[in-house]
Amino acid sequence: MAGRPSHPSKEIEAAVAFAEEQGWSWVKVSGHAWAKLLCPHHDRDGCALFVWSTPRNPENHAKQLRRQIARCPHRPAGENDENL
Amino acid sequence: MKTFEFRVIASGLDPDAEDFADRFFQAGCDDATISFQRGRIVLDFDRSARSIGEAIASAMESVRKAGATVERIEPDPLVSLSDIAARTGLTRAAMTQYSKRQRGKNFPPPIARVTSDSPLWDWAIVAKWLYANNKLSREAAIEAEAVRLANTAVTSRDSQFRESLESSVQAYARSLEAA
Repeated sequence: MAGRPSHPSKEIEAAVAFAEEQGWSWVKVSGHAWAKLLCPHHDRDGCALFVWSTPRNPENHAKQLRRQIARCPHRPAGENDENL
Repeated sequence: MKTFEFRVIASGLDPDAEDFADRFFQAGCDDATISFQRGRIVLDFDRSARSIGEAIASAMESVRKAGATVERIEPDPLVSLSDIAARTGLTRAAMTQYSKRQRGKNFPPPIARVTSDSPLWDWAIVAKWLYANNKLSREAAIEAEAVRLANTAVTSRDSQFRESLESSVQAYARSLEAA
């Protein structure tokens, strides 16, 4: 977690910090994406999530990021609340 | 203008390629969050448009402009009773009673995996029934039909898709009034 820059949007920065709490890692990328987040399942089946530097609407982007993180199927067993 | 939430599932671009995210950004997908999950490109859209039909059709155009192939639109039109409960806020028990016709009148039959232990319903058909029984909003019923139509169009390669989706959704909205 050390050594990465903060996202200029407060909401997006909070969503990225939330991802890190869930075991996701931060990877720098070039271009319009600010970063790529990789889920705890670090191989070809793992999830990758792109964070924009300047999304059309930062609040919506932060909400979408949280939704995508919640949808990751690679959370530790027992935390998956789908199909009850 | 209203903001509509839906997902486009796509394929055909390498998520490890240098220009992967930029392609989508430049094609106008900066109102979507892009991920790569289960081998598929997933775009979570919050798109402002005059109607759900326009929102979905324009998002599909953006994704294709980026060079990707549209595979599917979600929330998926095929649903289990649990999915229906989750989408409506009704209880799982109530859904089971509707499906067994112990409650309500003429709940629609499933359309897929009919002979299995876990049959699936067409969300648009169920949504129409729920609307008629005051369990779902008119907007939600129209969105269900729009997503169903969009998924049908994904495979048909209709070049007039935007217009035809828009007019089909409008016709559907009118038919709901008559129902």
